[in-house]
Amino acid sequence: MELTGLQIFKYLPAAKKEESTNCKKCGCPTCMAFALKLAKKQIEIEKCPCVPEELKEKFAESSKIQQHEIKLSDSLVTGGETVMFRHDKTFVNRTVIAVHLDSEDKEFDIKLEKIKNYKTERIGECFKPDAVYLTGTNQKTAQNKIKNAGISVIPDSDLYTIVSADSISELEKNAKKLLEQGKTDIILELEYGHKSVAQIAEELTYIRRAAILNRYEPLTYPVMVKLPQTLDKLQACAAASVLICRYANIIVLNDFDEALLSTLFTLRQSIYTNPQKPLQVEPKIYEFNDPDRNAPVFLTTNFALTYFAVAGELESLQCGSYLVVTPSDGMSVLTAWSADKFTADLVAKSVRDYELAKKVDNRSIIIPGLLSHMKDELQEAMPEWDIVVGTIEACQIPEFIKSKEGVFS
Amino acid sequence: MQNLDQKIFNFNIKEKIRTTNLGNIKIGGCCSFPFMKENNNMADPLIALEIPYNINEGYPDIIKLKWKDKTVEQILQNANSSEADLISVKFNLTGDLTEQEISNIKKFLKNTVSQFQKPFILRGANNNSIDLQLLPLLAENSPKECIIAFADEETYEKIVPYTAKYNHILVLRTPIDINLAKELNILSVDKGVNPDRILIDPDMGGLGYGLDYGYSIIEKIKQAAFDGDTMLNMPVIAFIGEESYRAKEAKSDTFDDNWGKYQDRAAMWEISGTSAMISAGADIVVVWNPDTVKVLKEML
Repeated sequence: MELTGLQIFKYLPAAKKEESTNCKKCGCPTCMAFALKLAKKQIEIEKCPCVPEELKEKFAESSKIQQHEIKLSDSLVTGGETVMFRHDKTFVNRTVIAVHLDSEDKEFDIKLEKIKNYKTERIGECFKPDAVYLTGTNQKTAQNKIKNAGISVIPDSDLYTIVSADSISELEKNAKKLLEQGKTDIILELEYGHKSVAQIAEELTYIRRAAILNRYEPLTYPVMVKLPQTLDKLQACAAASVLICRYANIIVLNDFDEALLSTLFTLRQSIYTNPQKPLQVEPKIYEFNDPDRNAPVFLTTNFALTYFAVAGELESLQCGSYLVVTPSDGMSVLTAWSADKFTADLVAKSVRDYELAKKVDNRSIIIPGLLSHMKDELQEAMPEWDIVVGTIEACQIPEFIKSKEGVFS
Repeated sequence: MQNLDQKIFNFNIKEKIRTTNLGNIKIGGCCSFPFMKENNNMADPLIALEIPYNINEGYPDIIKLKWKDKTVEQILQNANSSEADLISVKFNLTGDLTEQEISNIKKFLKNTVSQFQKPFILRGANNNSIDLQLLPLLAENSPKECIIAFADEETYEKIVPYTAKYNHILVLRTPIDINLAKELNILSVDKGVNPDRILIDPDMGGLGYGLDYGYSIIEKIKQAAFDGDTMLNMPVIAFIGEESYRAKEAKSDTFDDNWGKYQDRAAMWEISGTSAMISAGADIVVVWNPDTVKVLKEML
């Protein structure tokens, strides 16, 4: 943990009411000002003549990096993690997912083309393989081809050194040697060997603990794992999924497989989402199953989970439908209501701004069952619409629609 | 690691996950995070294969293909000879229980649950008005001790007396919130459940549909448990199969080529979600696809 300004201040003369309180020798007007600057590393600790040894030690320890961030190319970094659990803060740099290519492979160009053209999108985020892990003798030409395709290449000896070993103690020993030579751009490759993914996950956890909790220098570098060729597609999916969750910084897949990539990218997106900032969808009107002008209109907030729960049900209906999504800062229905992010005025304004009345002849809007108490308020704000209270759970929507048969087309 | 100072790797716990027995298997007992063998942690997560009581159109092609024209009894027979640790039966009823239905269920329990040696999870319809009739019926008529799933905030008072009387293990579901999970555990224990016969179901979304929330709640529950909270150190169960196959990515082949072949993606969707739940610390994962059981058993 980094020291805060207040934690530093406790060691300074002003906090201890000593003689040299606010002596200004450091150039700051007060001890508190010095403490705050030091916490932000805007001043050197030596400037203060009164810093006790204990603070010096604590400060040195807390200034050590937990996990180094290593540049893999101009557009790709890895490492830099600061917590063991995503809920403690958030994970920083998403697991790099690389695909293996061999420069001697007769189908090199075809495979590279496939990797280059791969692109999927989910919740507004675009997914592509992050890098190619290149092997083979014909490296230079192949490297250029990959780079020209706009894809990062691993390894890149200009940027970092990879140390490989099949045990933590060997990794540590090799990393120490590099550190002694003054090299600090290091990638640790934990070799899979004949181990199970459970054993690899265990070793990765130990390495991450040594880095995050104990700042043990030789292990504070990003860790790469190459999946063994013996795994089939489904086994590779299980193994890579565990490695995304359990502390691999870089994963190298043996083969390019669309289903595998789209699955892993989706998992990675979930794990690396900032838990303190809910996922949002764009507030607007969404259409399902080519709705006609009499299709039912639902309304909810732009919290991604709420949206997906409702959207999933609307998609599964036989009939078309509309979903009006309000700009509610990504809050769920009840949270948004209690935080005034789902008010009658805001709903009325959204419906007006999105020009719903021009899209449909139907004049009913179905609101979430959790907000049934808002019915009158909404009715008053939107007299031209008939406010209908819908279901509490999204999964009850199909039944709800059935019960309204004949009301909608 | 023999040359390294062990202290830089260690993680100490105050309390381990509760252990309980069901038939010939042991549930829970973890004393570290998943995959870690420290603290003599020998407990591996258990895998249950779930089969519906009524086979209907609601199931995705990839699952239906596994069942082909078999009857539920035949499918259960296959599950019993699979590598799964437990068999889960979802009583996917939709209406009130008729006399006929009740007698069918009793017959079913007699003919299957007692015949197979694997332990069972008997699971309600996810509909409180049905489950309030169904779960007591299952608890009373099951020929052996089972896991009964699930009671929630609104139903636990009525369901607890039945599961406690027959010493079944009760799954308690709360909506992705660690405090609510703890509260429901305490309330249920007050009503007479042995705390060793509780499983926590923190509810969750499948891959791509809020998996991260369930994932973090499980991690938080494990942290609290290892830190000594004896009202949160019950084993965690994750019904990830049902959630996985809710996703359109696992149900529909209308995606563009970059999303991969439907058969592959639909299989991977559950495997990936289940791997994540195990990585978070789930003690029992309930899956739908027999391939998932196979792959995960190899992995563990």
